[in-house]
Amino acid sequence: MNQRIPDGLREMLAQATDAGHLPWRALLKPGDWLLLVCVAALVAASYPLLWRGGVADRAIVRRDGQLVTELALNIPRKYEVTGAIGTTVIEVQPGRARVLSDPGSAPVLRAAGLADARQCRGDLRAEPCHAATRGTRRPQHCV
Amino acid sequence: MTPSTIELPVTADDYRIARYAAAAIALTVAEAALPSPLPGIKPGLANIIVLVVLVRYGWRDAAWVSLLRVVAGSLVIGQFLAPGFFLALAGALCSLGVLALAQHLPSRLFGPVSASVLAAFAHIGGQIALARAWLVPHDGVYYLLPLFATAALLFGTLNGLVAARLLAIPVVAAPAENPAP
Repeated sequence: MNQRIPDGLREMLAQATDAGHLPWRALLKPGDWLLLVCVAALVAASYPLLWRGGVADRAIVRRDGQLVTELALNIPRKYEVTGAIGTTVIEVQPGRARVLSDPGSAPVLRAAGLADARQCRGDLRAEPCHAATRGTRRPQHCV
Repeated sequence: MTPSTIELPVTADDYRIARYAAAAIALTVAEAALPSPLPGIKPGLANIIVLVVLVRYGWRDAAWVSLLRVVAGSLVIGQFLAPGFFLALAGALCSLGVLALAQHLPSRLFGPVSASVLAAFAHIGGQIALARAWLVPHDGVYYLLPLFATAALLFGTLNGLVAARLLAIPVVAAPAENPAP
């Protein structure tokens, strides 16, 4: 049957068995080595690049401990929150958020992770609004 | 009234492609029985056959073998027109596209291992793109990309080495293509 199937699977496996004396390294050419090194580096880099579990992806805005809104950090925008003494403007840029203007002093914008999305502590004497960025695992930014 | 008879001429190329496709289908079926730690991660043993055909007979024959393997293999394992079939088809089409370019790499510097690794990455690229667009319309699918890429590097290298070893063996002269009716 092998005579009728010279290129069939049976013969290929038989040939592979017979070719046991050929060293594996001899099968790799210089370009193969170069490609393998480059691809391996890209694969290694893909882990920290794509598994960024701790990067914040949204900002949580609270007023007097009550949730006002959650702002996605991938869309640049400005958000106004009206409190007892005035309006606080929160500016969102890709990956970060900050208090752009507020009616009092010492605005608080503290980062907190998803598992630590607690109410931010800080000087709230004159600032009714504060925000926290929330990621998937751990805090990243504190503005 | 005499019923008409349609005879389809079968060439030697057809027999050769059929033999290679049968070998690839056998490997696909055998591979389906292997446990996988993550759906979608498979050794892709049939790609060894596709690589051998590509180097020996060119891209056209390799495309025939690859696509016949996808269609017939899915029929055999009962996944024809299921999501797995379309994922396999998308991967095969992307890898064939990359192989069409990779075959023009200088053979002095690049061997079957390079073609295999590039095809493996094109394969997972096509599958993830289709999965993102159709099955999992969420960016969360990209979290699996490092794992798929690792598997593509590992299995692409191994398959390329096996194909290179097979190709290093002189081809046994085939007898005249005159199969019994």
